[in-house]
Amino acid sequence: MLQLTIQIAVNGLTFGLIYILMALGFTLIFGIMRVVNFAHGEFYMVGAIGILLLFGTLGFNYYLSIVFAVLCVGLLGVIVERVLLRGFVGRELNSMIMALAVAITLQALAAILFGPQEQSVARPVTGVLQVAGVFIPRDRIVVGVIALAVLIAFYLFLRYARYGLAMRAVAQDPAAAALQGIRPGFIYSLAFGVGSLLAGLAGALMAPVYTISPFMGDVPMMMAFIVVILGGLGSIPGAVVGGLLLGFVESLFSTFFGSTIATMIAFGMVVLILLFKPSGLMGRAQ
Amino acid sequence: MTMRSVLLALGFVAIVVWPFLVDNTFYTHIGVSVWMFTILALSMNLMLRMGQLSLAHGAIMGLGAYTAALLMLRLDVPFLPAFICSGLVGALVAAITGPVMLRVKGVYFVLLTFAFGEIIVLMFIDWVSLFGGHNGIFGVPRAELFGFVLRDRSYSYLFALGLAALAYLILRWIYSTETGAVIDALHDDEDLARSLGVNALGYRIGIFIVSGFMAGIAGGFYASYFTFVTPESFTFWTAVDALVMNILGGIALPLGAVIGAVMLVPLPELLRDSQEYQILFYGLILIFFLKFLPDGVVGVIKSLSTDSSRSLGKRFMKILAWRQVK
Amino acid sequence: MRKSIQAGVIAVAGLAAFGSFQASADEVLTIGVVSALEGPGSEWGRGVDGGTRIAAKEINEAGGLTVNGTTYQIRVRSYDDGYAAARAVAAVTRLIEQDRVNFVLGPLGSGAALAVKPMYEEHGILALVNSYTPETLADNPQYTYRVLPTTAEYVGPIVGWINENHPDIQRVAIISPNDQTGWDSQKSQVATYEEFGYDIVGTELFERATRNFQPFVTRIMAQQPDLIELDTTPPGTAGLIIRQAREMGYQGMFSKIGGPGVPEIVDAAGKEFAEGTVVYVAADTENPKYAEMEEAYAEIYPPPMNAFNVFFYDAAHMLFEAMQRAGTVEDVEAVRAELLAMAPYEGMQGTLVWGGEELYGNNNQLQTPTFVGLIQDGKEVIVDRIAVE
Repeated sequence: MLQLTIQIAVNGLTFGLIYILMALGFTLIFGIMRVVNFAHGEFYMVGAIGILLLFGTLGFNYYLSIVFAVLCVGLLGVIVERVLLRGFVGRELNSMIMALAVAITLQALAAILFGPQEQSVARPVTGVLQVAGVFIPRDRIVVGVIALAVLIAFYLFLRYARYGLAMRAVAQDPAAAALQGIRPGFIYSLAFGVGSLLAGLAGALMAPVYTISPFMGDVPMMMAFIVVILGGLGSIPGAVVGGLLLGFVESLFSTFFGSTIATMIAFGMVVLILLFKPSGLMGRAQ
Repeated sequence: MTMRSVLLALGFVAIVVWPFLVDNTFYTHIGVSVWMFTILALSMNLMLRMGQLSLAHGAIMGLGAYTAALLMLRLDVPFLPAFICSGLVGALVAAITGPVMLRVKGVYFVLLTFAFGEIIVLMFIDWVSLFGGHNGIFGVPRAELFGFVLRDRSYSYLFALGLAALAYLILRWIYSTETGAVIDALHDDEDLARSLGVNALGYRIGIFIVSGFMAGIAGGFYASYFTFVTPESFTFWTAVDALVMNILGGIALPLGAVIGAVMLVPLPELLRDSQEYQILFYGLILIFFLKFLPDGVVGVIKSLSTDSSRSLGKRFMKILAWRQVK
Repeated sequence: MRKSIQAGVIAVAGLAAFGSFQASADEVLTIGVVSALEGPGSEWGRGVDGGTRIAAKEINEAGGLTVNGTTYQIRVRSYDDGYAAARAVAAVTRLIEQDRVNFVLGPLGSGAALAVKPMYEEHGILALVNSYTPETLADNPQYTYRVLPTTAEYVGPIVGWINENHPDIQRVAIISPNDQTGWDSQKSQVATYEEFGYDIVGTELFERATRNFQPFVTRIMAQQPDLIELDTTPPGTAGLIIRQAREMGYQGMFSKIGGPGVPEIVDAAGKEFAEGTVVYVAADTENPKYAEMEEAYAEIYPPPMNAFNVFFYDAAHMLFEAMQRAGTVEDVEAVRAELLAMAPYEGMQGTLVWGGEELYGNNNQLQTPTFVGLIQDGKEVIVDRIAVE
């Protein structure tokens, strides 16, 4: 029983880290631009497709492929923001629908270019770490470590870097930030770029662990959604807390009751949070 | 002016006799779908008008559809009462959840209704003994009005057109009354409206109930027209479709919802020949409209003539303020 | 790129049509296809379209289909239903009303098939469908036939093979996707394994979009099965389950009696983990005809070709031959009678017969030979071929 408990906890932690990676970008984009980015799952998918192309087909080094794929996704994010979303900043409804349209388009494009079927790439890391009867696949450890490192780097960036501080300033009060000489336009591009880059990273990391298909972004998108609402839309610490919470809840309930029940419980938590504390577990009061 | 009314009358006649004119069941089928989704789009227009986008409307339509299907199939209820019940269930869901959910605003309401709608759809899927799981329910009887079975699609077309026209007139009527002015005021500046003594939540709940009724009716029609109900037809994508219709047509007028449905519903059929490119084209068309016609077709028309509806809300507030002063 | 190919094909078709116009003024025979051609499910759905088109193309290139003295060029009208019931209704309405077809292949999937079945029956459209639910053949349909074997058709022979070759197995867990296909298929799996005297220690359903099976696998392994049956799990996902279960320390065997796709399983699971998995083999890839079809398929859709193509290739050829025998492309009753009388028919992979009486109460099911496969060194090896009775 203890062994099972530890296994569930370890599983929950590894899921949680990826959810956090997805949710951070999502919440960052909302916090700064007030855009509910329905295309977030598609950036995850593009990251994975990048790995399929660079690592799978062209045979580059896996870690180099990650860096390159993730930068491309970030660039794609900047382009999408500049060309399609810039005009909608602050108009939550329209920007949300634009994001939906982008999602539909990217998914269709991927299906045309890469086919609708599930594809796999070879695993750069194999094997299992077995500690006291608990099994942890090595590839998930690699994923977890990279995710953790990026999270810490991201935190330091927001805390100490000039542009990180500027981002937080814009999120808190765009008008005041503008008075300080911060160009909101640049910050929007930066936020959307970094946000999609994080989603792309999650996709690139999970590509060898799962399978790759044009529709693979739907579930992580949903998860990011749930995490962000649990933690509070726009709240960075909330994304971390929400991600870990969802990871453990999913691990626990799908182990004992199955995945449909786990999904229903996650949505149930979302409804309760929105009804009684819409700002989320860690969010500031409205 | 007379020229315009003649054109309008001609257009109206053309829409009514159209299925008999073209005598092609496939075109009639598209026509039926157009008017069916017009009802849902209009019900969505009510929500958008008060600034609360509901992504649960697909699921509410689903509840209406399952209600009609189950009543007719399991309890042998005749069509008309079952059909009305499908609307009542939609209204009931709104009446029960409204007082709690409508306290939530803006994007939080969108997300809340999204989660709520998905839970309902998961229930359709998981409660197999009642809702039939992924397969749904098949063999729902066709609509029957006063002993006349709507077997021919042309009659279904007229029925759907009648329902859509009724829904449109109801919306026009609501917007022309004081209630319409109040919901505009709530959308524009809720704090001001409330400070003037408007029972904001009460109005919102009322509108949500009317909107839920219409969504349920659209579902009831769906069940008897298609003669089957499956859960995948009622996910949040259905609500998104209704939303997109409003965006394409323009939210400012109920006519926008109608125009949007007329534009969007036949689109997959028009794009059918492009095979695997059709979803791509759909996405690109959407992007184009959002980018270049953000206020929809109605917005284009309205920018040509001067607008009146939004100022109605402001006018109402002025009247209220004036009353307060007195 | 694909656009230019399409343009090229159209141009060639135009030239060909022009040429034949000069020669004999060919008639055109239109048949319909409804299937999931885009989006989720289309990797299967394109098999309906691909197989039909390849068969039609072969006949057209050989000069057309001669029926009662008239030579027809076959035109295939294919409509996407997005794997959804309501859209299948729209597509079939269009085929019936707009294109005036008398013969339709598809749709794929339970919901879509059940939605359009009343239309086929009401309008007297001869339909060759692809759907896993037994409901498809319920109520003795007159015009709806299933040309693809489902789990119920092949689970018996394959479990029999396992029983004979792996006598040590006792405890079986069965995993299926949580939808109509999975439910119906799981029922026949449970019934068959129980018939052979196995203990069913767990039956599990998962949502199709699931990629993370660790909690799931943890749960199943608590039941200590000797064999995990993957049923109609999509192949890529099946590979993921195999990999994640092996990584969590599962030592037992896997079998996948339902749906084709060994390359995807091996890709997703890894060669060493997939080793020894018993699989249902839909199409014998060693068959030289199969390679030819793959080439033809690549001109229609991007590879890889799904094995479903084989069944619809055979079915389309049967349909065309039935028209020739009946001497009509209009009289659906006559064509149907010939289609039924034609079996046993020598298909691409062996003898096909109509059957299904004991399961469905009618013989609207086309029975095909069953191949038992084993994954060895990352490749599918056919270890037994069981002909239809």
